[in-house]
Amino acid sequence: MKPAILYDDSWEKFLEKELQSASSPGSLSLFKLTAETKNRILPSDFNGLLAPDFLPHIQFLPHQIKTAQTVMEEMNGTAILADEVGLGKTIEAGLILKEYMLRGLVSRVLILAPASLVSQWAKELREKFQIFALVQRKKPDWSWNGVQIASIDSAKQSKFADVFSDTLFDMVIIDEAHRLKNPATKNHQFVNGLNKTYCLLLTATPVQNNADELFHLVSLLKPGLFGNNGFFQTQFKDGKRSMQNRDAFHALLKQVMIRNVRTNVEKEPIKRFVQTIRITPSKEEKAFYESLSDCLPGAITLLTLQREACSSKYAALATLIKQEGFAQTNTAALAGAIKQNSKADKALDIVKQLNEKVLIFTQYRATQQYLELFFRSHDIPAVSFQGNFKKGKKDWMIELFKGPARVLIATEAGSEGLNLQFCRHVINFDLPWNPMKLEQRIGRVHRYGQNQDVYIYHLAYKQSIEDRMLALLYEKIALFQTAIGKLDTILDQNWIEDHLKDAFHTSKSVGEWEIKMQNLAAVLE
Amino acid sequence: MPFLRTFFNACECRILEESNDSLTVQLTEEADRALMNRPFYWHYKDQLGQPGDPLAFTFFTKDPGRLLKYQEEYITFGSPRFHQFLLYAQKRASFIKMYETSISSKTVQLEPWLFVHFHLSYEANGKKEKLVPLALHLISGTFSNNFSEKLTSLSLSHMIAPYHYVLSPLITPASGLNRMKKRLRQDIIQEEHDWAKSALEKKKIELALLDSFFEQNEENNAHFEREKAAIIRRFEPVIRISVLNGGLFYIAQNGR
Repeated sequence: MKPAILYDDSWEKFLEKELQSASSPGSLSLFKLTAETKNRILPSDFNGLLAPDFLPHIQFLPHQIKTAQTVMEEMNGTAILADEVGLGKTIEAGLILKEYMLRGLVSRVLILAPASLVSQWAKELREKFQIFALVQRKKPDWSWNGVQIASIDSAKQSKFADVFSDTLFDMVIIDEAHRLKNPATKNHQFVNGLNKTYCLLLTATPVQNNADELFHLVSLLKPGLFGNNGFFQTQFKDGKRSMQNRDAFHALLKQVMIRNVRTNVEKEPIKRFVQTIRITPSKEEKAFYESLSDCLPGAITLLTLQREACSSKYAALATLIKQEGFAQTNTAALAGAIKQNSKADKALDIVKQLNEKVLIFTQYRATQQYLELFFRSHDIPAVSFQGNFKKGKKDWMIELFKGPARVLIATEAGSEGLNLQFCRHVINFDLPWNPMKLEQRIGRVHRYGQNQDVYIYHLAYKQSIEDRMLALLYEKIALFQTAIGKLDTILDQNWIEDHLKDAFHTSKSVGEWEIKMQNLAAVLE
Repeated sequence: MPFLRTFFNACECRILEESNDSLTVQLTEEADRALMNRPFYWHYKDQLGQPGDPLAFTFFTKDPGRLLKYQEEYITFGSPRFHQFLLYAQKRASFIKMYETSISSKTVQLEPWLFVHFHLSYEANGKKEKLVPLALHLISGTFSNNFSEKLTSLSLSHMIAPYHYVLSPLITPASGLNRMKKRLRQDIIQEEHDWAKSALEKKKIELALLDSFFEQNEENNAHFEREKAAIIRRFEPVIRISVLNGGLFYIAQNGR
């Protein structure tokens, strides 16, 4: 078999004209320089990476190089990058993009990211890879012939449908691609309709509920890898949740997906010191906590309410206040009697001792507001961070935290995509029921780029619901992590999470919840 | 980066200062207009009929680790700036005419050679490239195998020296170029093309997967065609030939 040979005659066209003119003095050295330099930088082999030599100012980690190479050599530029949070998926995608650009295989590129991460993408590409991308904002111009970054929401509007059906992208990169798992959504259909040669999907959580999601993600990249939907259902699925023919399934999955896990990647890992601090509640706090069962609102379980109270009285009051006549209850009076939050005092102690930046996580807006005021009243500059802040405000908060502020107080919802490697202390002011959420939190500081050991402090009231959670969930966290983190068991993740959620939200009492958790742990062991 | 020094010397820009990690250069007007991306400034000066003030610029080849000022830049082989320079060098010397000069009191007869750097690009699910230099004697029609090395030992000028005269080509440069292309094709056909075979193999597998996914489902025809086209773009092997640069070289006979 002989491949087709195409000849580009653009040089030839000017030959007759050039023959008539004389050369300038420097032209011989430019002539030689061009040939020598070109010879030096051209890709002399199909395999291997050029990009690291072209970007001497970045130290790539071995797993990042290996990932880029595998995507290029074995996956032909269509892959799901599913590294754990904080291992540098963006770096890997940038490296792959740069490699394809240097080889001249890719020039028109569309990057789709959540709106809040668009500028961050542009910055990383510019500073790390010297790729200058156009950020599409209010009035996008999709005809741009280079690298462009947009939010999927702005791109999928129906008024642009014609433009996209006529445009061929050499490469499409989609960040947080788990948003495409449902084929009935506009997001999925939009990406499915794009004309693309190469495609990268980035997500830390390729599966959230069931294996069908994985089928739909893969079908965006490589339709037919698992056969069609009917074949997939009969061949690989067994009922709604379980899988069969796992080995065959994983073998296929490995053709399109790479998942690096922290424990395999780091030779000298940054150490993580976790300290659980059990705090004795004050008399007033204890009384308030114990009175909660007397005024339980209809739709909320006692567990939920108790957890709120463990964060701060304000978090619990935000729920309780909605009841009619609450102000007259005994509980309201007890809440009023609490003058100090023992946890906040402890957090203040930690912050004062450290003399470093500290990141504090809470799940409740009310607690967040309270803490911000609390720290300020003690002359410690603190700022808040929430998911619903506008892009500019988010950036500004991070800049403040880098600069004058000592403490950043974040709610869960705000943490996606946050890079805070300059900070290495995290206080968990309250504890989420799902230990994986905790990993997400810690991942904000314990991530690619962190070069110091990381310190984590869990705050929990003695003899409270949190105390039980610690015993049940967090001391077994290693068990959950091994069960959840690995590629081979990635499909098991969802049922564990389902059980965790179910156990917490439907249990009527702490006792019931404890029994469910012990059962789950027994199964895992 | 020795590239920078050679480049600016060849463009007749004066090098003001040079260290291991940096180079400061005074641009000429021509270089400023071509390289500094400031058309408005030059347009403004042209309209006023005033002479412009070309920039002096510093390039760092190692990250200086501080914020850069205006007229400073960090340059690596990955920078767009580097590729801009390379492209400019290629365009400025895309075709050259050179004459051998020797110190001689007798007349020297120079013979014409066509010398071309071909750029070959092998593309399938990846890409490799190479440069092939070819030199053809435009009177005898013979190819030289070591023309590039020979050039380095000669002294060449863009103007013909006194007491030197040139023989006209019997083969026109255009037909010389055609002979080169023919020879190039023959060489390529002789090569082993395992890369193309394996790419076609992969293409076949992927197309089969695609068929299994759609199973003649008429509704999704557009989607099917789109995916099929993408597979063909990714895997269809092709070899592209273009000319990087070339020139007419007049060389004394004993230099052949």
